[in-house]
Amino acid sequence: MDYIVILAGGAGKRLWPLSRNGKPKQFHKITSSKTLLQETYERVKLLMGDNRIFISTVPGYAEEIKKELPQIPKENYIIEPVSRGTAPAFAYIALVLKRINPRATIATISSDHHVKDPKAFAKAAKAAFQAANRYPDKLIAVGTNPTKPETVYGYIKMGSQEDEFEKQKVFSIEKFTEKPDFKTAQKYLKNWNCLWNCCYFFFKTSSLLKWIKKYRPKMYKKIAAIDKLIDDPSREAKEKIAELYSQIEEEQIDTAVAEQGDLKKLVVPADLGWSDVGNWGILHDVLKEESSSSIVTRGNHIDFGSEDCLIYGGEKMIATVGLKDMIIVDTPETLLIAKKSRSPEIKKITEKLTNEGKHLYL
Amino acid sequence: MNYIIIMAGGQGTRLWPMSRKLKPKQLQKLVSEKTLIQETFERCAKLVDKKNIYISTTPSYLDEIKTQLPQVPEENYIIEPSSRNTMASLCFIILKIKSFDPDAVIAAIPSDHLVRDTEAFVRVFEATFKAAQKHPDKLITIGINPTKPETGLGYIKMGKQVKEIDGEKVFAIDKFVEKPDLKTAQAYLQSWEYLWNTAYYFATIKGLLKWIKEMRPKTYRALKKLEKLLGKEASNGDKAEISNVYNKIAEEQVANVVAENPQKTLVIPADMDWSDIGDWGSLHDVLSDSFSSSIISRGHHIDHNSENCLVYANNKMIATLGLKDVIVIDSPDVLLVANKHKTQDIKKILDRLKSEGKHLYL
Repeated sequence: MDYIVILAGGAGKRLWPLSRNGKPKQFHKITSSKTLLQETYERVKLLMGDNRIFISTVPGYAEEIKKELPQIPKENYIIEPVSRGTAPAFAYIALVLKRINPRATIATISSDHHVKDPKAFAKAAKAAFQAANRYPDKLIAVGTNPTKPETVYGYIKMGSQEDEFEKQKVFSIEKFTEKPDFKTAQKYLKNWNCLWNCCYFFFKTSSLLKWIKKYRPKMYKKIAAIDKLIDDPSREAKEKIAELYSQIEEEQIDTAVAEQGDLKKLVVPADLGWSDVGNWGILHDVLKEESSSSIVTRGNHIDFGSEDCLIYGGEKMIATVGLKDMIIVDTPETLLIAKKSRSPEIKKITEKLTNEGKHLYL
Repeated sequence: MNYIIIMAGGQGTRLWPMSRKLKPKQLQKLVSEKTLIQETFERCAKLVDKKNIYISTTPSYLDEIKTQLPQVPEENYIIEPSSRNTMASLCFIILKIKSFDPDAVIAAIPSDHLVRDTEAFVRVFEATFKAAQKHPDKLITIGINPTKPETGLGYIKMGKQVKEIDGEKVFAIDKFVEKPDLKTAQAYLQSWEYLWNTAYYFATIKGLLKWIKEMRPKTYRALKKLEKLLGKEASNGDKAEISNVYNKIAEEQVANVVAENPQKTLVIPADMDWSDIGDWGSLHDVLSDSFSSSIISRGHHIDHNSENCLVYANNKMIATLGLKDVIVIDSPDVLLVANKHKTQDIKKILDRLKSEGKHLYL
């Protein structure tokens, strides 16, 4: 049986100052009148019913998610005790799902991406589920055709075609590659066999636990110990689980499992109109395309002689004069003004704030 | 006796959104913990007795000025019935001073300029007062040696030297010239005989009356009528009549009338680290020179890799990333983000706000 797990535990700060510690990106209405999380739900809803849609998150966000997605049953929440990266999160998800169905196949879908074509997403996901069921020893990914030389995404290099489901071709993955420099990204854009890694993974829960055991035996030990405690409803058991979980070294699934050379993996290429909305520049590109206008604004804005700007206003009137390639974000406490091309460097600002003890702005 | 009249009725909107209709530039703290009018008053107090400093303004700014300058006695306010530009203000000033000292020498100066070399200011003003006494039939003005090719100011072309007073040379004026384009301004900067026009005027009351009579007979007749009305013990009917006559005086700038006949004016050239702070760009120039820093900021500001920016925060944290030549001015209801080299276009924004009926932002 297939299940979808929406990953909603991320603390994504790359859209700071809009996304903040208490309210990360997935809880914001960025590309429409719905939050990115709600949009993600609408997309996966095309694939299956609410009882098979799960939410993986951390304790701090559960309340907000329940408000945004009241239709998801309470028992479908998988709450990690603390945030330790996606590798242990996936293992924890596998522990929970295997109790519901020992033969479960799951898809892990990020809650904070933008997908222009939900139908293409549904079609690709269907094919990916079938591939995961047909090849239980392989990890299945979904990749999307690059539309520009993006340097902030990871890429997937396709090998040969292996199969076809629902008229979607499935390829072997030669390798996952890290974020490239601009020149390499330009090369990737020209190659038909390079895809953006959407970080959507499809796999059997049993396989995932096997992979963790093989590639990260230390992590697996903790997970196996948690496995023994997870059915015990007592407070002591819960506390023990939290303790064990917090001892796990933080790691992402990409390095722990996906990028392992001897792991067999497949990819379903698709044109999703996909973006991870990972920085203000990318968001500007997404909104620019949707509105066919080089200046995109929200709120009260007045301009003379500017071009190519994103003005994300709040209550205030924002006046701009003679600007080019700029991002302006006004929030109740903080105001960001950035050169668009520099927006991936927002971390430098948030780090500086952290170092100066200005945590309340984060 | 020498008197200084600080002209504080101007509505300068070029430093919008900080200078506003209800609280123009002179009433704002732009460069220090004091407002420009407070700084102007303190400078003048080094020259003449405080009781000889008068403030000329309109009813709308009176309360704020009284709060900022509590040391100015009630009778030292010259309140015009309405705002009708500087020529009308000058008439009102003349009548007020003449009523108790017909032999007075007055200096009428703007309240919203920046002077960083106070010693030079005092020296030049003393010499200029003396020049005004020695040439009772002339207006004496002060010209500033240009330090950059400024296009936002009018210039004075000096004629031959006529005198020297206390080491300060006094020149005839060949002509007044309008704000030049950049190329012309560059030529003026290289030529010794061009000075920035400060619009500071020194003259005897008698000389001024004669000058108005010759240059603007109609205005002179209105002035005479006003003198008669002001001489009476004011009944309500007279007050209405005063405004009535005042409102008929042509709205024009003293500087324009002065420029029509340069032979009637003399100029003393000066270096006193002066700026009229005509726009945000020139304020940034002044501050970045005097602090030898390309980034000038006030309030909560955090930056990564920007250069040549002016950032005035209000109550929010402002984060800037990778900017160059950008002016950021936050105020309680409006945020301005402008290209430093385009700040003169703020006028276009104001025109637009006006035409859209958004007067509350002005």
